[in-house]
Amino acid sequence: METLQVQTHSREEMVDVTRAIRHLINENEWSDGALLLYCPHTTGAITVNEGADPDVVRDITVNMNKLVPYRGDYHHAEGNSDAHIKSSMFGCDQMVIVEGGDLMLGTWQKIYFCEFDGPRTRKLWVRFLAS
Amino acid sequence: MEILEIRTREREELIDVTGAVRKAVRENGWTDGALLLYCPHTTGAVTVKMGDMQYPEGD
Repeated sequence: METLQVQTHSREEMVDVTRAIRHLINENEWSDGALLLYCPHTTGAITVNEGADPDVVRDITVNMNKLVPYRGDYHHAEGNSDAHIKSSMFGCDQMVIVEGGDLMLGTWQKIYFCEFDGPRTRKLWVRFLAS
Repeated sequence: MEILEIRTREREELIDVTGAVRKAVRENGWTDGALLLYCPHTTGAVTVKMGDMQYPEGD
């Protein structure tokens, strides 16, 4: 298993980790199989979405805040229940295909670490599952 | 890796691809393991839901 460290700079942020993951594939010479990307944090998540227009990430972040407001009917004493809820909505894992050493993403897709309670130093666990 | 092509006809639509996926399983002789179904588009997704209005085994 490999671990990527991700530094976030805002309370809510989507950090493009695609390049770091491609780098891991090359360094480890992983060729055919799948990657399990796992976020070991309860207020973070992993997602795949558009990377060409940064407004997409902005729109996701801003509108998630409307769906799940920072302040609301929450009991959790830490005051970050919105972040926990978002983490479960997005999910703490993703699987992507590796074929012939290439990370198989769609033309516009990027892999994002989602921060919902930053800024923090985060971890992303990566396990290659060979075919 | 196998690629299925899916034609959609509306802005929002859920398309049952179960038959096509089963066909890929059969044609490739896949017997034991798991399938990773991956949508390479940023405005589409893959999901599993109830697909038959007959409830032979309950919902």
